[in-house]
Amino acid sequence: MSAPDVIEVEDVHLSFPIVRYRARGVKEAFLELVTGRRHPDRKRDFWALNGVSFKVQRGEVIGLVGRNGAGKSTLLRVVCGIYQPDRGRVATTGRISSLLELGAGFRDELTGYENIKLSGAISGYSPDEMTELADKIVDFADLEEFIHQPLRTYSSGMRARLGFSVAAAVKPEILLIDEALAVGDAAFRQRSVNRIEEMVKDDDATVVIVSHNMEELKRLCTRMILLERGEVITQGAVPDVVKAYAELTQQKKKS
Amino acid sequence: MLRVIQENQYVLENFIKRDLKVKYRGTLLGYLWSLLEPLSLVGIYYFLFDVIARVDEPGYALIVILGVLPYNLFGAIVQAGAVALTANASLIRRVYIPREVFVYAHVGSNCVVFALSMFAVVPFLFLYEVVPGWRLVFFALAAVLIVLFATGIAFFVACVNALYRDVGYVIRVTLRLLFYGSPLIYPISRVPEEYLGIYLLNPLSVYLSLGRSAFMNQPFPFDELYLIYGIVVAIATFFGGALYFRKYEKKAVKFL
Repeated sequence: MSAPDVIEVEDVHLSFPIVRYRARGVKEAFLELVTGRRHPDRKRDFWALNGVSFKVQRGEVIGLVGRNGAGKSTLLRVVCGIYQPDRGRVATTGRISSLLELGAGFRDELTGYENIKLSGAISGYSPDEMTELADKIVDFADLEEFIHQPLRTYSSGMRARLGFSVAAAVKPEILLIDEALAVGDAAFRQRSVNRIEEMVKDDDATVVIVSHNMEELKRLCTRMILLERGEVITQGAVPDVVKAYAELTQQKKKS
Repeated sequence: MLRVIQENQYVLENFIKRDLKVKYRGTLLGYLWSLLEPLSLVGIYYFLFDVIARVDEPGYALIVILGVLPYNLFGAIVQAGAVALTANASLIRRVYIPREVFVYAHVGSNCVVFALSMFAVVPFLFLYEVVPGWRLVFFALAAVLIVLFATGIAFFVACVNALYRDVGYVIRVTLRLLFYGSPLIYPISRVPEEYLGIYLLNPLSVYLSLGRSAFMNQPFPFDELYLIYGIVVAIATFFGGALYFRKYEKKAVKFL
């Protein structure tokens, strides 16, 4: 009876180079560039993800929690293909829409409206199709007054509203949200949460959401994952993970 | 490799339009600058070599403009390529778009600018009473070769620049060297015979003199073998750069 897996993350490792300019000599840098081999002394990678595995079935809403720097955002980026894992495997099925940081791929110098068009193009919509969608997006974001102003004049809440509205409008099969709702006002957050529930119910969308707002997560999520130092500590039923997360933060406060 | 272009057609269109918009934003003369800039260069060299030094070269201004415009196309693609990843870092870190798109977008917008700037050639055609004929197809070929060659380099420098920002400086110095080391402000016929073999190893020398001779209804100013060499280098550079990019952009992105 179980729905098919739409996200499969298998033993994913991801490292970031720790960039130290000048600490390496020019000769060394040149040799690395030419030979493609790394100097033995320079093993200073930071492993943001250390063997993360989980599966998400269609229609699930997964809450991803963890302290700052635990690897939540990085994990979402790996799922939507921005970073390729160094080891391990990621497989997704269906159109992904992501809302990472404020405003998914928005540009400051463009107007709100132009940004809508840009996001649409990124999701593969033609300009004409997007013109039709744009009204709905502007309406949902409640930004009629400002939509032809450059994005740099927007408050962070306004950005988040526009970002969510676009991400939800392009009918994603997988929606990835990274704390983007946190800056919206209460009314907008309420509407967003409703919209997510609607997408899951009506369109069978799958959602992975990173948040620090436990109330929101409790209401939305069907399952949760707790991440710490790039590893999955617990995953499973919402109350269990919420409790584990609370214990983790308590514990750190004491020590 | 071309599938990337097809699949991301709308993003590409969007990027190219934005690029062109940004280029002329806030200017009074807008597109006219694409004509005025090369024309001012022609003015300088005409004054220097035709008026002052009196190198007796018929059609000198036409020679210069036909060198400068295609060379600008090359330089612009390479320079834009160098920052294709770094300048788009915020976008790259937020949404997944095949990264080739960023390079192709700059290639596209610079091709448009090049096509528009070619109108700067028209007054010189009248001035020297040159009527281009069927040989113009070789000019088109030269343009295509320049674009392929430049795009390959752009792919390469886009990756490397994410790791080492020195690339910008290297490019600037190299472009200046090539400005004088390729037949821009002089025709290839001025290059001493004994150096011609080495001189034509620079593929830009082949492309620029090919395009120029085509425009001026002249036969190839070099052995046909060099034309084949130029074509091979352009194609090899393009695919080499594209393959390098495909292999290393994943790593480069981590440095953004």
